[in-house]
Parts: sequence; structure tokens; C-alpha cells
Amino acid sequence: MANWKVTLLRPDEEHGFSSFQDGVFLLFFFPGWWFLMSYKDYIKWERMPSTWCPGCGIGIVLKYAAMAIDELKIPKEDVVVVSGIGCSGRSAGYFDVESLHGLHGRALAMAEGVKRGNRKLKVVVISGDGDLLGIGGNHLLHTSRRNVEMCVICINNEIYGMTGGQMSPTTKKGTVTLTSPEGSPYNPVNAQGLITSNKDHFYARSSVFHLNHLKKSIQEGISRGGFSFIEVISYCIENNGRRLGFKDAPEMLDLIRKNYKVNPSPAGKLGDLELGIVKT
Amino acid sequence: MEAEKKKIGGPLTWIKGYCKLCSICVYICPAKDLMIKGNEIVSLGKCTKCQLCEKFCPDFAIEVEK
Amino acid sequence: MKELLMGNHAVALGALKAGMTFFAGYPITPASEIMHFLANKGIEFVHTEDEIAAANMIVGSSLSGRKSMTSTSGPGMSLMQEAIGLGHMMEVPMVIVNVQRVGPSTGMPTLPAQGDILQAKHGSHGDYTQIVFYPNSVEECYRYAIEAFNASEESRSPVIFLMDGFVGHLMETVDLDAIPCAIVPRTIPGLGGGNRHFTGLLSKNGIPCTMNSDYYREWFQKMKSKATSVSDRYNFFEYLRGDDAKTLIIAFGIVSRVVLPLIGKYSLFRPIRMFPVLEKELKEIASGYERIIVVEMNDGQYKGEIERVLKRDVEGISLIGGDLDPTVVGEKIEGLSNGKLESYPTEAR
Repeated sequence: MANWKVTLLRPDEEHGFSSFQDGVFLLFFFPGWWFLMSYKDYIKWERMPSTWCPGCGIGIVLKYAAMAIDELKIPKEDVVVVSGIGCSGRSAGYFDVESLHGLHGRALAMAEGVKRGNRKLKVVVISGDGDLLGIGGNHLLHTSRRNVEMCVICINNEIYGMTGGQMSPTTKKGTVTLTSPEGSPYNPVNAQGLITSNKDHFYARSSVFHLNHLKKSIQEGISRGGFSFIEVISYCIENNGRRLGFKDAPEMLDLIRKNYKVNPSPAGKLGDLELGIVKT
Repeated sequence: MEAEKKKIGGPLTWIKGYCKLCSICVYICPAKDLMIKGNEIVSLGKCTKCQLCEKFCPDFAIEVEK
Repeated sequence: MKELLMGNHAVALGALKAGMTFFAGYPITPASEIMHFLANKGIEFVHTEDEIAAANMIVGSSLSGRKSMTSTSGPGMSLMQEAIGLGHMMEVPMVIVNVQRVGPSTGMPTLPAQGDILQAKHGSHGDYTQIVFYPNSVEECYRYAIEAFNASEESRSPVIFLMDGFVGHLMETVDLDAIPCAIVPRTIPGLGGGNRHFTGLLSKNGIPCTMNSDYYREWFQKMKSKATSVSDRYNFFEYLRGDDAKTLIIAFGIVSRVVLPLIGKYSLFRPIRMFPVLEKELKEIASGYERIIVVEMNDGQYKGEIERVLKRDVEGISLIGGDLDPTVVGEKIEGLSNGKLESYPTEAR
């Protein structure tokens, strides 16, 4: 597409590239215009500051998802961001591309509809652990089984933040929340196990502290050509951390730094506190 | 919305309209350059342009000149 | 060319004619035939994990630029309600076919009913104006499936296509080529190219606007008048006038065909666009009759609507249980009209 437009302009060189219209053509169709773009072009600045609490990790994921898309040089018109309900569900609205903010848990179903409706589109789903693994668990099972091409970024803060701090499917056993005042009695859901139980799978675990790894995971996920699931370890300071005794967001970020280590070549499976990419 | 920007010394620009004073930049800065003073982020002039604050800021509220 | 067709197949054919290129659904008696029929028609077809996914998937595909449909029956319809509300909020054109069976819950899967009338009107939470069509023959299944797509495109809202198990499984000879149809093209550009934000939150120009009551009222009025003005162009009904009949029977779906032998002595008004209720036509026609009897296969759901519109006493016969016996229906209407039977409540059948 790009070269075609440029050659169309070439024979008309006495006209020059000085006119405004040609400038516009050049800007949009000359391949080099990518160098002028940055991730900032994918963000809706008129909606900033964002709705999230001070120090929330979702903003970091928003930035790195935009960066990943930008560095993959996917044109803005080919990107659709879909999200569900919850704190992370609000992230779709901050992307300066076509975005959908659907029902609680149904982001994957809607994203599959979008992808099947127009195969040209690159669909990125950004949603939370409660949305994707809790209420939307069934859709996760089946969308991953059907291997629909989409990149799912699951921001895992181990809590239902927007509703005030209730136990989520990924809350660690023994954690005190509003709905588990004696400590969560259940083991957290094993997202890695769910995704990798499919013969053809892409599962990545990253965190809001390990930013380069996060960006690389998202880029690999988007360019995989099938269903990819990226679990991003995040935190919730206002509705979970404070109850657990954390003073502020950096303390929670620091905990992620201390606990999680990147494993660049996991052997088939990631350990509990390992970050990495498991794929076939 | 055009946010209010403020040069806070050296290569740093602080975007007051976006900042929620979460103090992640203060924590992450390896040179211990940034601090919160009242309701403002201030620089102590020790910036090494490592850009970690810009990378980690969840609210796009700090920029470092390259 | 004349062919023998099933109601469910006719709906599928009508949808294909209207330009539907995306179907997502989950099998359920008595609507499965629609799925079977569409599975190999060269359109994008998904057998989803559940009805919730089906309904949300057609929201997504419709936004990405394809005319989309799903089909289900009562239990699936209950699952889809949230997505129907989402469709109204996001202004997504889509068609949901509900081939009704006896409920509540799993009920009697293989027997027909008309018990989802009010659910079709107000099934999802919150206020919205739903357009609903209800055919009574195989030919009409085809014709009004097209109209349902047209209405949904024009109103940019979900349209519910009601049927009952009888109409769905009815086989009739029809000549589809002879049925005139106009097709409304897509009214919204598909995803890609802009920076629109579609959200289930109340939003103004793509920006959530959840604390502005004035804007909600303004938005609601706009949505309501849009749906009403579009549905005014789809005011389908059938009126069969009996010579000097003093009683008007109101029936729809398969019941309207069961009462046909009685027409002559009675008149029949059959709404095809069930909702919004055809108020103007109904008032005009009903004014000439002493009595009005609503015959339906539920416990008086549409009767209440008629009473609300006409603001007068309306009698009703409820034919619940899924088995229709024309002679019994006839006896009931006779009994009601000569005072031997009481209007509600009546025993089954």
C-alpha cells in the first residue's frame, strides 16, 4: 500500500512535494512515517488523567501495551482493544483506536466476534483476573480452545478492586479480603494450567515491574497468530494492599521485584514465582 | 485536556495535571533525585537521565529529555 | 419455485437474504434447526460454548461490520438478556430469534408456548424500547426475518424475532422468490479506522458520563424516539373483519391460525410487530367492537398490554401447557362469548 502511493506521486515531480496534500500523502503513506510515531499516538490524551487510584499498575500496562503495538508497527486502524468490566476494563477507553468496553466476563466472546467479523483486525483484550478467570472463565476455556487470534492481557491484582476488595479467583490462600475475613479458604485458579492444557498454546507471565519482559511478552503474543494469554502480575493498593499492611504502591511494586524472577527459557512450565513465556 | 507541564530541573518535566503523587518515581529513581515536597514533585539535580521514572509512571506524568 | 420449508429454515433463509454473514448460536430445542441449516452456508458460523457467548459474539461481529444473528429458545434467551441490554446501550444492530417453548426453566422443551412475550419487551434490566416481530407462517418467517434485519439496521438496536415451537417446526409450501423484499444496507461503518469507544456505560461521544442525570434523560428520550419512529415504518398487522362481528379476537403466532375457522362470526386482529404495541391501529380497530378477547398461549401477558393501551376491560383465554386443540379453543371462545365461561383465570387448555 505504502509504495504504491509513493510511486503514484513520483511521475508528477514538477509539482513537487510542497503542497499540503502531498505532505499529507507522504506522512501517511511513506513507510518512514513510522519513525514519527510513538506509543503516545495510541493514547487518548483528552481522557487523561486516568480513573485509576494513585500508583495503580494498570496505567503501566496501558503504556506498555501501547508501546508494544507501536513497536510492532501495526497501523492504528487495524487495532481494536476490547475489555470487560472492572478497573482494568476501563483501559480500553484510553486507547486512541476503536475500542469496546463490554459486559462483565464477556470480553473474550465479544473480541472473538470482532475478530471473526473482520480478520484484518488485530484484537487486544485487556481485562482483569476477576473478569477473565472468574465470571468469564468458561469463555477463556473455549476461546483458547478455538485458538482465535487475539492477544489477551490479564492484569492480575489478586482482588476485585472496583467493588471494594473482595476475594477474586486468583487471591492467594489465606489472604484477608472483604469476603474472606478469616483468610481466603481456597487455592487460586491456575491460569497457566488452564491455558497450557490446550495442545496449541501461548502463555506468558509478566509483571508491572519487569517492564521490558512485559513489552516483549505482549509483542510476542500479538504477533503469534493465535490465541495468546499474558498474565501480568499487578497489585491493588487502595482496596487490598492497605488492608494487608502496605503503606503505598511502591511497597507493593517492591514486593513484586523481590518475589518474581524472569526465567528466559522455562522448561514447559513456569514455577509459582517465575516470569516467562510458555508456548508451543 | 491540555495538562499543565512544569520543568522541575535538569531534563525532567513534571505534568502536574496527570500526577496523582503515588511516589513510584521517588521509589524507582536509582539516583535518589526525586522527592515529594508538599503536593509537588521536586528534583534534587542529581538526574542521570536513566528514564526509569518515565517508564514506571502509571499516569504518564513525568518526562525525561533524551 | 415452490418448495416445502420448515419455519426455522425459512428464518435462516430470510436472514441470508437480508445479508446476514455472521451467525453464533448454541443448540436448543426447538431452535436448533436454524443452526443446522446455517452451518454450511458459507457464512461465518460459530457454535459457541453458551448463549451468553453467542449474544456477545454477535455484538462484536456486528460492530466489526457484519449483519449478525443468533437463535435460541427460552432458557437461552434468559442468558442473552444482558447482551441485549448492551446492544441497546452500544446501539448495535442485531437479530435474536427466540423460538419459544414451555417454561419457566427447562419446562417442556418440545412443546410450544408464547410465554416470553413480556420478557421480549423488558427482559434486560433498565429501560429501553425493544422492537419485536412475531410471524405466524413459514412465508412470514422468511419475510419478517428480512424486516427484522431492516428494522435493526434502521434503529441501530437489537430486534427480537419471536416464534413458537409450532411455527418453528411447521412445514409449508412457499414460493420464496415471489415474496417482495427490500433490504436496508449496513448503517454503521465497521470497526477500524476511527477512535470510537463503544461502551455499556452511559457515554457522551465515547466518554463515559455516568453521573449526569440530565444527559441520561436526554439520551433516553433520543433512544426512545428513534426506536418509535423506526418501528412506525414497520407497523405490520393483520386484520380480518367478520361480517357484523361484535367481538374482536386478538391472537398472534400459531394461535392466530388455530382461531381462523371462527373468523366470520368474530373478527381477528393479529399484531405482527408485537412491540412497541401498535397503539394507533389497535385503538382505531378496537373502537368498533363490544368485546375484545385475547387468546394466547400464556397467562395473559399480552392481554395486559392491550388493556394498558385501550384502557378498557379485555377478556382473555390462556392456552397454557403447549397442546393446542382447535375444537377446545373454539369451545372456549364460544363459552366466553355467551357467558358460560369466565375470563381469567381459566383452567389449562
